[in-house]
Amino acid sequence: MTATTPAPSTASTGQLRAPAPLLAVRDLAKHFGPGCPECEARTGHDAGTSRCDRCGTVLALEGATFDVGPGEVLGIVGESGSGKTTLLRMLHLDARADRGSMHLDGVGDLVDLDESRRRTLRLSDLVLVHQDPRAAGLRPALAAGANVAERLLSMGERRFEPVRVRSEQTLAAMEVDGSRSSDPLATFSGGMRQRVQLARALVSPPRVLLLDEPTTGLDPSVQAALLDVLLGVADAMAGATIVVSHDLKVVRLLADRVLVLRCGRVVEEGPADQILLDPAHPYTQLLVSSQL
Amino acid sequence: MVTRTDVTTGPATAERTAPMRGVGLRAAGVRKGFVRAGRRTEVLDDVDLELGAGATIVVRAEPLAGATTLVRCLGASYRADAGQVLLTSPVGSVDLCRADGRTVAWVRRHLVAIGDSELIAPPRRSTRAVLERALRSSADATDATDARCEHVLDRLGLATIADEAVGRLGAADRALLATAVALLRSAPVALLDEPFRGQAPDTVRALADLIDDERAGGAAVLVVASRPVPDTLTVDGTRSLSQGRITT
Repeated sequence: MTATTPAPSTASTGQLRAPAPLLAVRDLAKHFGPGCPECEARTGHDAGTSRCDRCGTVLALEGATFDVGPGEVLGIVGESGSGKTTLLRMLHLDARADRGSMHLDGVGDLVDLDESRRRTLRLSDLVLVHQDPRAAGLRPALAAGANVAERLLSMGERRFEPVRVRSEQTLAAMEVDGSRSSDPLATFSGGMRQRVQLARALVSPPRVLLLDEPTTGLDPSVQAALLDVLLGVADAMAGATIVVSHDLKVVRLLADRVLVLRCGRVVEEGPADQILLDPAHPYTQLLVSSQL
Repeated sequence: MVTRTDVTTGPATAERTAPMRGVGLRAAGVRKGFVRAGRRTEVLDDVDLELGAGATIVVRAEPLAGATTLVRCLGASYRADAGQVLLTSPVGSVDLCRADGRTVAWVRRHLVAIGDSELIAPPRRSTRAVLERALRSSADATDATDARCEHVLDRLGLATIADEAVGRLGAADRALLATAVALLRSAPVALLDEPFRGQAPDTVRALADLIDDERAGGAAVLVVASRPVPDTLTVDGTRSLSQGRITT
């Protein structure tokens, strides 16, 4: 959420347009298998599968194209196997694309970067908050504050006091009780571990924050409290936020725009309320009507 | 405590300009229908409507005339089947029916506020915190947010539930809060669907004052109402919506 209006792009045509994107993804594809000339025709929404029945190749993601700008929140929805995780792994530079480009403003195309550069960007610019905090590299035996501080230390900060202060401030912003910052992470509940993970991600705000099913697996009351924190995070992010969730209510709350994935393809994209109140694609209509 | 500024000190700070003024909305030939249970129902039929900056237009709509659909089509929550919804501003214009999704979302975030009965907020968040968020997102945000929030809570009779989680509010309070949020954002265009319905007389007068404040600040305001609006509301034009058509 911005205090003043970001300047729109109007070019020379007098057409009002959204400002230039921070991250521009074009024709991104990830396939598993040898591939054949009929793969594209035999997969996708109409075929009802992302697996080519001729050669067995899985088109986990095919031709994904989208932009996300500074301060924007993009939601990605779809059923299991739709390509959400594959897309997130590529955006986090954990997996290499077979085709396409991901242009990050000021950095360039991320697709062909070597592993060393990828690792650097994962520390500074592209941070993923995992569904399972254990997958995020958090150390259960370490104190919550130390888990947060570790990210600053790995980014090269060597002054102890600023690291400690900033870690505790960020934990407090995520509504983690200050008296618990010295407690081992292993003693925290699932919801509190998610908050520690968020604090670790935001202790040095990334340019692109990736949230993978941030409320999944939490009981409703914990989920409700975490949603409050997540909305605060999304509002405060100067960079772009991409949230993957199968819960449309979570996406409606957090996202400005929604991308709907089905069988590895983007089947619909638009403003969140337009997609969720007035879905055009039959699959999105099914998805929306299937919500409790 | 980390402040918002601390968390936003990322390297990708968006380019900022002053709040935009002189924004209007013009609908021409807007049609919208829905397919339900295999049958298509036309809801809006060739709707023309103009909202100018610094003016309040009231659309009187009989029940089931298509009022909510009109508000949602003007605000691009619904995709019109035909026609044009042109948002005009001093720096450019955009047809919300044909613009790309990112531009529409950007316009919705910064230039157009919709107030209908649907309040989108985390259920644990307090009434006060929801209003504060709207004030902070306002193009006119100032350091006086806390004081203004308390003032609005008081004016709208929400002070007694200021610390109540919005998930515990009744329908009328949620609708009032949704309208207040739309107004407090101070967006250049405010689209209000039945803002006075179900509210107490004092609250109705306070809402009318808030709407007048937005109008005086240069906003283009649409009020859709099935009942007469309060006499205290400054109205620059009245139209009627009947069976999906603007009749006057």
